Amino acid sequence: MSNTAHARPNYVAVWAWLVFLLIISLAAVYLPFSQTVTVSLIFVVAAVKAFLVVVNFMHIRMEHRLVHLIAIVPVIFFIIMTMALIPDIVYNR
Amino acid sequence: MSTVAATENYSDNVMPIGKMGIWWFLASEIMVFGGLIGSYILYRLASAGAWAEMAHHVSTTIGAINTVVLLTSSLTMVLAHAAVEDENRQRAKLYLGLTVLGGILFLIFKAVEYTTEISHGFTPLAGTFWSFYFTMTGLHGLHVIGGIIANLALFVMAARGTLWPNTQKRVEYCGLYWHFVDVVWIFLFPLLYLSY
Repeated sequence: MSNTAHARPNYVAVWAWLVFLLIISLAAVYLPFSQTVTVSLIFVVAAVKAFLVVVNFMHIRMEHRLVHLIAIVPVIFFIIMTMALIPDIVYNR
Repeated sequence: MSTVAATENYSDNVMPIGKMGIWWFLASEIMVFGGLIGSYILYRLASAGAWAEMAHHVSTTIGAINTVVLLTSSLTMVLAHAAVEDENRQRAKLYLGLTVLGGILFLIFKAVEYTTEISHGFTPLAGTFWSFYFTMTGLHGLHVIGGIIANLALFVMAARGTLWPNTQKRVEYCGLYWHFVDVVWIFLFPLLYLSY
């Protein structure tokens, strides 16, 4: 954050979107989609929900660039670690 | 959309040590939960059939209700932060209290869920899925307890009027932690309750 004034999101509207997205992910489980479509949909929805919380509730856009770096590096490490272990654990058991 | 003055009094090039500290802490937490979630995903991919059957026994209804509870407590937390920025003490106290209640409600639902599962024989020793389930939700529950304690301390300070004038940033920092706990649950819910 800086000294400059910033616009405050409509927090209640963000919350309503989060609940709506939760309903979509619940509906996806019970609709006759293939497993691939269902799993993809619920995790895309989860990622969108997390994005909405981080951007609107944690105000990450207004943070210092160093905060962006601190937040994103462990996420990248997590993705690399998981992807790197797929050949060993998933396909080579 | 309303425009308000930012609470921080620092330039674009200098960050308060408290904010730096909470973000470093959250980064380490990403790796803690990331290790668990990554391991869960890998073992789940390696044994999809058996785990899918196990995952049918968790209560999607209670999981969904708890998701709404946590999302709502995140809303009240950010509203508490906004009230502090606006120097509205009554609202800040109200929203901090509601956030604490949300956390307690989450734990009550979780306790009901655990009791039902364990009474049906689904203990942490009942299989790999259940080991992951209890470890991930248990660790998350401990974080919820930590958040409740921190927010309760803020609520008491707000009630006594000692939250002002120099300690408002604590609400922002506790809020960052609380929203992070919410984000973790946002991923735990589909992983444990929906992907069967």
